Amino acid sequence: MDKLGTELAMRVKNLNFYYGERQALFDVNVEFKKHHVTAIIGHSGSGKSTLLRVLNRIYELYPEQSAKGEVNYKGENIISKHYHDVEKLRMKVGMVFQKPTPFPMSIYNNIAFALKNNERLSGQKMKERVKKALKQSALWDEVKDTLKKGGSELSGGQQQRLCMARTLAMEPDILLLDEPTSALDPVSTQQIEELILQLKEKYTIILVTHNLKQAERVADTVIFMKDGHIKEMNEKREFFDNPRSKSLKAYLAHI
Amino acid sequence: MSGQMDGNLNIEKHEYTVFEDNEHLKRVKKKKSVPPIKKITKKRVRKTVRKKRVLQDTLFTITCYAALSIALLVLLFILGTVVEKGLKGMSWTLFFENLPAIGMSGGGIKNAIIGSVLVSGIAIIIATPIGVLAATYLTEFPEKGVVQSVVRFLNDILLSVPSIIIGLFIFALVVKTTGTYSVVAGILALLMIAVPMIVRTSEDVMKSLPPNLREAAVSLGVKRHTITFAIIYRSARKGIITGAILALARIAGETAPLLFTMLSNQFASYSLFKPMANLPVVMYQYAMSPYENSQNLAWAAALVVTVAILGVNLIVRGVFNRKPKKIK
Repeated sequence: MDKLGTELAMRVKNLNFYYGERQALFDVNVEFKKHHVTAIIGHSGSGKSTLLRVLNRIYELYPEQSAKGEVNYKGENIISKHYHDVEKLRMKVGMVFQKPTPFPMSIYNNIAFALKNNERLSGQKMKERVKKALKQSALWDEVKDTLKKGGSELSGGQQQRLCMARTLAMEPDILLLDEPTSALDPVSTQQIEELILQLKEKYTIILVTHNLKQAERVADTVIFMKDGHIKEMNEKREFFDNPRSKSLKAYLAHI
Repeated sequence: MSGQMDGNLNIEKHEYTVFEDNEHLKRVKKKKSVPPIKKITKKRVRKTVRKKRVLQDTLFTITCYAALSIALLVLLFILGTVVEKGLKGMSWTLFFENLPAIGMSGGGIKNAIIGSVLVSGIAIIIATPIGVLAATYLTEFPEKGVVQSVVRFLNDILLSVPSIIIGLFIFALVVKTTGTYSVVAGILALLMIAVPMIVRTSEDVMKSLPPNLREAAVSLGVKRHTITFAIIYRSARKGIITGAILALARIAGETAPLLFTMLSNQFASYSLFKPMANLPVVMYQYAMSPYENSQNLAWAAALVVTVAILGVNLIVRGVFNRKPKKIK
């Protein structure tokens, strides 16, 4: 309890996860530090995304998926059945996905949509919040004159930054990024990475990535997962310079 | 390390085979005119393979065109007949006068058109929300797995029930108990045809939306019902409306269920609780009569129905294709 709230944003304890019968995570224990970028790397199917999807309970959408264990956020176990304010949790623990998913509405409404649902804001305040979010995600200059245009008319990189803005507008504590740049070109990727570095001043960021270089560039702490286990977790330099486990050495050597 | 060894082995093997083929090499070196055997065989193989592929390609293309032309010919033949015979029955009074008695000349099909528009229109207006909500239940509540499979199965059965059986069912249920054929009975019969169609098409459209869309909205802390209305319906709008229009086109031409429920009416009656004239049944009754006048009127009615359905389809396509949606 001690460090939670001051140094730690989230603590995962003995987490087991199941897709129906198949177990995907095995006794995962991990702590996420506040205002840190924690990158999770590993092979496809190693459970990286699964871990991320537990942290805001998004897995609940699928009845066959279940999690057991403890994910402590602000002193409460968010995956317990008694934790009821899931909507509020998801506002505070935002998530951006691999593929940009603009909603079928204007750029402005893409951001205002969730705000309208969760807070009562006056028209002026709403405009300010939308503008702030777009500025934070470095999209404002590109779309300030075309806010009425449909969100899907933007380019892929812009769409992804729109999704970021949408999440940032909720003023979350934690940002979960599930391979946010894997569908983007190098320029857009760089923009998103710069964004991540800026955002970590204010937010705790947990990033799943396939791109080792990306982890090296933006992360403070790196986690290596394999077959549903956390194999290694360390401060970035130590992680890449002195890998301890055999599996991580093999993984790094292959790339 | 192991990779290098593999490479060495390969080289040795390669050299070995070349030396084994010494006889051929010597022959080639002495007589320069003899082209290398390898090349010839490769060319030959390529040629035969190509021939085969070209043949397959041609055959398949011909088959496709043949199938297409059979389908198109049938369609053109039907349309041609309807237009040719329907034009004979056309007159200026067609849209402005009520039905004549069978066998009488003159008159029009005004009350039948109004009846058809009214009954199909009311049916589709009621059927669309029911169908969409049922589809919502099937797609947006994943925790209700077993109930959903049962509902889906029953809906599929309903979808394939012959329409005459639906007519008989409503006849027994409504017409018998109320003692009269009526517009309401007709609407109920058409509902039973339209609703399962709309459920099916809406479910398909809503299911085909990317799961990320729902996940992204959920992870913003938005409540499920808001997501359904603001995002799912909006994204699926095009498909849902297309499905409803297809259902409308289908019920606008249904005869059997109306024959047993709404029947028809010689007179311009616009009461919901009495029989009312409608195009399909008028076609049936007038075409069966021995009088040429009446038969021509039936053909004209057929032309009107065909053109109306075609028109609705074209308009829907036009409206929705104006704005091509970016799909990624």
